Parts: sequence; C-alpha cells; structure tokens
Amino acid sequence: MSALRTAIAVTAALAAFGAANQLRAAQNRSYEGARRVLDDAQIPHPTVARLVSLGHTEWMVDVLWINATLYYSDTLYARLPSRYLRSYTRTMSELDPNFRQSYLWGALALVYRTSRVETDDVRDAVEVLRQGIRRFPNDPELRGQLGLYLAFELGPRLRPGSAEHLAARAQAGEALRRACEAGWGPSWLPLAAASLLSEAHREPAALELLQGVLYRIVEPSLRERVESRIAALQRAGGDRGGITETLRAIDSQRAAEMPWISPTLYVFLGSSPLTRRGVGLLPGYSSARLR
Amino acid sequence: MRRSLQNLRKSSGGMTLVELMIVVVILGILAGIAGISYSIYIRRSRSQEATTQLASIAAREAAYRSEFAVYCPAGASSGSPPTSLGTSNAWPTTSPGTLTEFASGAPVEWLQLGYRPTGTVRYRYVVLTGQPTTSPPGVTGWSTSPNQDLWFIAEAYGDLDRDNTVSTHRLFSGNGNTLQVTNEYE
Repeated sequence: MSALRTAIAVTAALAAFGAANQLRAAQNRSYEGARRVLDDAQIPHPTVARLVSLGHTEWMVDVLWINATLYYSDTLYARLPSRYLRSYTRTMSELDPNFRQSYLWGALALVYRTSRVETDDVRDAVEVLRQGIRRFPNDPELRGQLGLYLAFELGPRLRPGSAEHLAARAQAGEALRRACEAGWGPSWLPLAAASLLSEAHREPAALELLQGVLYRIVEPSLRERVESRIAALQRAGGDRGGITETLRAIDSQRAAEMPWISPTLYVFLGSSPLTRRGVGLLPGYSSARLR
Repeated sequence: MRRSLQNLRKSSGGMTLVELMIVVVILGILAGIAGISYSIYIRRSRSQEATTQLASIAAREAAYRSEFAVYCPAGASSGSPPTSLGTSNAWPTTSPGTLTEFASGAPVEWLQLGYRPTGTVRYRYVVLTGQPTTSPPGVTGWSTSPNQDLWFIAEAYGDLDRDNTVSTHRLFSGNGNTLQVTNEYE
C-alpha cells in the first residue's frame, strides 16, 4: 500500500512538473508574440514621443539612445525586423535633429545585422545618412560613410548599368570627394573616389581631388600611385593650367630649401610666388585669403 | 493622561535590532540585484564595439579592394599576414576584454587598410583574406559556390564578463553583411 502511495506521489509530481514546463513554454511563446506590441510601444511615433516628453525632447532622445545601445547587440539586430531600427532612428532624429550619432548609428544598424539585410534596408541607411548631411552639411564622416554605403553596400546589390546603379556610384564619388578634401578616411581613399568620379565622366573633378590631396600623402609608394593616376588623368585631358607641374616644382623647391618639413607645411611657410600659387591650389584656400 | 503618555512612549519606541537587520538585509539584496543588472547593461552596451568596428573594417576592405584589387589582411604582427583566425592572431595582443589602446604599436597592415580607431578597445580584431579558389575557414560549400570570389573574414573576440568564454563576432564578405555571433553576447 505504501509503495502504491509513493508511486502515485512520484507520478503526480512528474505530471505536475511536465505540466508546469508546458505552461512555461506556452507563456514564453505568448511573451515572444507580445514583444512586437511591447517594442512598438517602447519606440513611439515622434509626435507621441514629443507629447510624452513634455517639451524635454533631448531627454527623451537620451532615453531612447540608452535603450538602443543596451538592446542593440542582443535584441535589435539579432531578432527584430529592420522596421524597429527605422523607428528608433526616425524618432531620435526627428526629436533631436542635432543628435549626430543617431544618423551614423541608424545607418550602421540597418546594414550590419545578424539577420538578412535587404536592398531596401541599405536604401534606408543611405537615406538616414542623407538626412544627417542635410543637418550637418560640413561633416566629413557623414559624407564619407554615405560614399562608402552608396558605392560598396548599395552598388553591388543593384543591377549593373541600371540608372540607380550609375546614380549611386556617381553620388558616391562626389560624397567621397568632399570627405577626402576635408581629410577624412585612409590616405588611399582619394584614389577610390577619383575612380568613381572618372567612372561618372568627371575627370576634371578627379584630377582636382588628387592634386589637392597629393601634399598630404607621405608614403612613397602611395604618392607614386597618386602621381601616376594624375598623369593618366592629364593625358585624358583633365589638367587645367599645368597644376601638377606647379605642385611638382613646389615639392622640388621644398626638397632644396626645407627638406625637414612636410610638403603641406612648406606650402604655408614658403614665401616665393611659386609657393603662394600652390596655396591657391589647395581646396578651400586661396593666396588672397592668406595675405 | 497616564494612558496617553504610555501610548506615546510605545509608538516612539524605535526599532529593535532584528528589525534593523531585516531592513539592512533587504536593502543589501536590492542593491545586489541592481548592481548585477547594471553590470549586465554595461556589458551589453560595450558589446556594440565589435559590430561598429567590424562594420568599419568591412567598409574599408570594400573600398581597398576597389582600388588595389585585393583585400588587405591584418592581424597581430607586422609583415606577416595572418594565416588563420583566432585570438592568437588578433590585434591587440592582450587578452580579450582588457582595455587596450589599438593604435599604439599596431601592425602596419592596419594602417595600410586605414583602420585606426582612436582610443581603447575591448575586443581583439583579425582580418583573414583569400583567393577565390581557397576555402574560407568555417564556410561550407565555397568551392562549389557560384559566388566564388576574393574573400575576407573579419572577426572580433571579446570576453567582457571575464568568464573565459570568448565570444566571436564574425563578418564574411561572401555572406553580405550578415553578422554571426557565437558563444554569447556577453
């Protein structure tokens, strides 16, 4: 009798355990189903967020940013669809358009994820960066990232030769040109920008870019590569007024007079008319401004 | 009158040592839970470094290839590109999880790639590259894939919670931008 009781008790305990386990699994499933609603509620529409913030929109953006940072790694890019990322970015940028980081983060989070990235996600990322550039027109990082996303993320996903593909590559060249002129990116990036500009039949702009950055490049092999590209562009008829010859003459003069200073510094310190002409060739400067 | 004075004395009698101990224990438990949650949150936010830096490496690799027609390998030592993945081939060479300056003494290949994050990093990074005919480690079916091409794998290794379980963030050029995270999110 006692053995029978024990057996019944053990069976009952096992059944209870199994039932509890089933119940827990069902609860987890329903929680996962409810997450969408919860996440939608956590990322309110900008209009709602503005009302809820009672005018303290920057504080509201701080809260959203903390939330995005905390859950970015294991939730947002791991499981949730990209529309949540769009919602985060849209709400943050509309509430506080001066929060520059939201544009960079929004674009990155849309393109680099653990779930499959669609072409529309990359288009959205590009649009987020364009929005950032409209707010910060002189920000080289935003422009550089836009160029890289257009050329190397969006470009390969489009049909080669299509109007959108050509436009993306041309816009990438222009964005990278402006970023490189501001000194952003690796020292060889101007070469990639020049290739994109040439591809868009903008050889004079490519030539001007390379001539402008030549003085910043100190690695001999890279400098040689840039010079050879300049020569090729000149042969193609892009040189205006023998700019390269002038730059080369300035460099020879520097090597003779002040070999211990950098070429860029020499352009500013040198006093000969030749050097003054060189300053005028640098993007953003003119001899008249320095006098 | 006497009764009201007795009531007053009774109500302002303070707390016993046991009551105080209970309060202290409850506060301690709450503080412990808050501390653990806080450290988890901090770790989560720090793990974002891996994705951000891998994205930066991938963008530069794509641009580098467009100009030099190859991907740029980079790892722990100058002049000898990594031949395999793993923490021993990654830069910085200190153990994953420790805060280390990236640029200080970085192998020349990282500079060649133009990847030089300012300040300190918690993850370790390596980029392995290969020809179309070679098999990327951890990728099955590459030799028969119609997408065979030059490839690179960038990996980040971290151990933010210092439990000796190294988490790996991986980005493979032949797989779009899909990140793979193994072991844990930290």
